[in-house]
Amino acid sequence: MDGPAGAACVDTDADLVRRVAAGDRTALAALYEQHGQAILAQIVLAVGDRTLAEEVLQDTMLALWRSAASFRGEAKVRTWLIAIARRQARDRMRRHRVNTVADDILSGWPAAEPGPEELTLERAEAAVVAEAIAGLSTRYREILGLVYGASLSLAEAAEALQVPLGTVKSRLAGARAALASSLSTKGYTR
Amino acid sequence: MTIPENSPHLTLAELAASGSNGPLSAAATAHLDACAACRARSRDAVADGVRFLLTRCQPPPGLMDSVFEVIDAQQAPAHDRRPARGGPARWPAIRWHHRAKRVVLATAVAAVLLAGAGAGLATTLSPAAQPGGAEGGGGAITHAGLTLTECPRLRLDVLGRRLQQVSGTSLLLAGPLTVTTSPGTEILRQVTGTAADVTDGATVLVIGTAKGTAITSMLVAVMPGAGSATQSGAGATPGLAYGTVTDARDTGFTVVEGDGTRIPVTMSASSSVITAVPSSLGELRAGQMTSVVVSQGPDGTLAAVTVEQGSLSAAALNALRESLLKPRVGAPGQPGPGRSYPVGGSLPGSLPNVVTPSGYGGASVLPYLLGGSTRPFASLGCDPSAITSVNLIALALGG
Repeated sequence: MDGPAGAACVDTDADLVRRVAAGDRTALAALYEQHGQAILAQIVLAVGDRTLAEEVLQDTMLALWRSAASFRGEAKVRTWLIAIARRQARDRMRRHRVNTVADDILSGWPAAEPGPEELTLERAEAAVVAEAIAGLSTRYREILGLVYGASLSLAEAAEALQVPLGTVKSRLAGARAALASSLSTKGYTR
Repeated sequence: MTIPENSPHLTLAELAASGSNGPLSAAATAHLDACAACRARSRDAVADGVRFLLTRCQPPPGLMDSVFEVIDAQQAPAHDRRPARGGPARWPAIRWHHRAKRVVLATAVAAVLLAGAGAGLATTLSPAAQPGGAEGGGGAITHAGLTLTECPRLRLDVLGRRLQQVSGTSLLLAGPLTVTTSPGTEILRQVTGTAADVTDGATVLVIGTAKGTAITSMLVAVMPGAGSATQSGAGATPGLAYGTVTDARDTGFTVVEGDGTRIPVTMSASSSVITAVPSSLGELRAGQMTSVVVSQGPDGTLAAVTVEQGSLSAAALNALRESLLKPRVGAPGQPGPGRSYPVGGSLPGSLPNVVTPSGYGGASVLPYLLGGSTRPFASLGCDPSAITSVNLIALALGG
């Protein structure tokens, strides 16, 4: 994590990036452990395709290896990595003619480690919302993922998306409105 | 739809709208101001949905190995380096990792279905149906609407699409997506059954109304083949059971789930029974929703393991849907269709509140109720024909 190191023996993300810049592979692996899932999730939300997203994640980690020295520490490392991932996704998508459907997002993701899990009603409700989110446009999926998934602040999301803060706010409101509309269509209305 | 007047809480749609500065009725706004639970849910409902998506987004093991391979190659002496490339890396190792798992799957499933005949499921995926494949993508396949099923030993991809046409031994599905069949592909047709089909030893899916620990059945789906129920899970949801029939009699039977749980089931005149019978490529009909379990070959091709279409008439399906999905209004203080649970809400009183399109989740939730949020269909014991059948039921009821 960023911020002051509470324990001297624990590297912050920024420390890890500096070590990567110095050629330390264990630091690269540590950053992957720390942020890989969040970045992959964000890429899937953006490109709508799991396999392509995994390739973009690899591109992103390689780009991190190559460009770690350019990290100036002005942004959170996760924000910076997501911005790199978005650029890598754009590069990949220029080369791929991606033809995806909304249900990719929800249904195509492989499971995490298996374990006994029961689907309570609350989980069913989350599944409903997730399915509706999967059907939203890319920009709406992305902003919801950044704010609620990657836990970026609105300012950080603006930085990752390279748009003004006001755009992030309006996009987030638009995403929730679109989500509400989608849920209404499914019958969740008064 | 209309929420019962005694429903105090906001619907999911209202919860989502509450953060959008969008239209929210005066009554909903007033309720939100007064209800701490709904205010909490307005924050959590969307976040829970996002997290639900993200939890199924674990990077595959071995991904970083490929990154380090490329780094090694680039740091190797010049004469050992790979040729310079203008585009992104191709990541051979991670692709191989996926392929290896799918090859194992294809082999294992073929072994099950072909009784050890050892026949592979060789297939060809046309470039047109392979969005990321032919165009410099290093063989990457863009899944288009596949549901991945995680099983202890097998990974099956489950597909629900309308059949556009049968071309030779290939199925062209909406997307478009091409799936090939082989002599080992099991092709099934869903048909209306009778209570006589529910015999001891049969594997069934039961959906109905919970009566304590018992179920009054609305739908009994007899699984094709022997079926199996190797894991528990369905019994966690009232009104839903999956397992083996025992003590079959005219008025009902008992379902023994994978974990040994025994669930008494009552049959009535309004209980519907469906089953699946062997069919053939020639009997598949274009335009129909088709459920397919596929395995992906090392070159990204998709091979059908099982294929099933419904043959119930629209009228029969509508009747089934109507009886199954009739909105059920919960008792005061109980959840009802279209209503949101306050934080910490309990399980529903009956499954129809979960599966109704106007209630919770639509039938698409069914695979998750039968396995868990990250392991759809897991209660079905990784039986491909059972997964195909249940998937078709979910699709039909969701339609």
